[in-house]
Amino acid sequence: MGSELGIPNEKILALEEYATSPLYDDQERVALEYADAITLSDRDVDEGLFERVRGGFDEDAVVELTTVIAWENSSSKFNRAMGVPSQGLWKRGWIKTRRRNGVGDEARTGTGMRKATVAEATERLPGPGGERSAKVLGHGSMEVKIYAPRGTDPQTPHTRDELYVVVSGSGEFANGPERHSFGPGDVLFVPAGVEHRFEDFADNLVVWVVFYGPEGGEVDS
Amino acid sequence: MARIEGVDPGRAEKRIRAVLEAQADKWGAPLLNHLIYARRPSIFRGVRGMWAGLDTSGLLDPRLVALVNRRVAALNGCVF
Repeated sequence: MGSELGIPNEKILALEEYATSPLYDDQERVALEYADAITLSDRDVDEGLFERVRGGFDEDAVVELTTVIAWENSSSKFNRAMGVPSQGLWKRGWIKTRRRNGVGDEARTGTGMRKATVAEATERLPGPGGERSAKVLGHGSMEVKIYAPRGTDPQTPHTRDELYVVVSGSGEFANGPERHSFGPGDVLFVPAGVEHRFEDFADNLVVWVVFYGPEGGEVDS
Repeated sequence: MARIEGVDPGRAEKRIRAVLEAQADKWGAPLLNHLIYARRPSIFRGVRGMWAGLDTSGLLDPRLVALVNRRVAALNGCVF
């Protein structure tokens, strides 16, 4: 779907990081933040956010945008409740492009790699747009990134379950309604959709990030 | 397999069948949620009307709409 509209694959892949990715402009960021606030049950649309939405869109467009978000919520919640399986509509164009890209794409995404070192991974930071995270390796649904925020942690909730393994640095971690102190070697789990961030952290903070499983996360059994 | 089986497109009423066939031409198969909506034709028509209304309103860049839809669907655990 996205590829048919001419959305670069890199942009689709960076959607979880829209708040910090240089691939997204200010208007897209506020629209997606608005979508998050409407969709996530622990968020709300406050006056400040609504004013920023107004700043990016005229009032008629705000009505359209709000309806798009509300209607997609209706549709996707119907699909989730009914257990409607994915038909891979987004991935079709993406896979074709990956095949055309060949070996170079494999190296970029880490597909096929079985080991990563902290030294090699941190060499990828910051990215060309100043990114503080980079994909290191992946297999199936599993994706490993290196993440080293500096100053503040601007991340937004992710759409899949996530593990952090702290390599270096210590601080506080806001994890939904909970708050943890953390240090090197600690493992932090964040269920999909839960707001979280590192706070009051040392400037040597480096963590492995592992995303896995389906969009929306897994149910605890 | 969804929790509730969708309709057989060949047995759907004419206008619904036409929509499902158009989806098959575009995507290779009818959209699975539409096969379920089609169990209740009035709901199917209402759903299609909403999508059509959004598609023809046209104030937003379709690429932005696609990204917003993708984000919302993912947050809701729905990958289409």
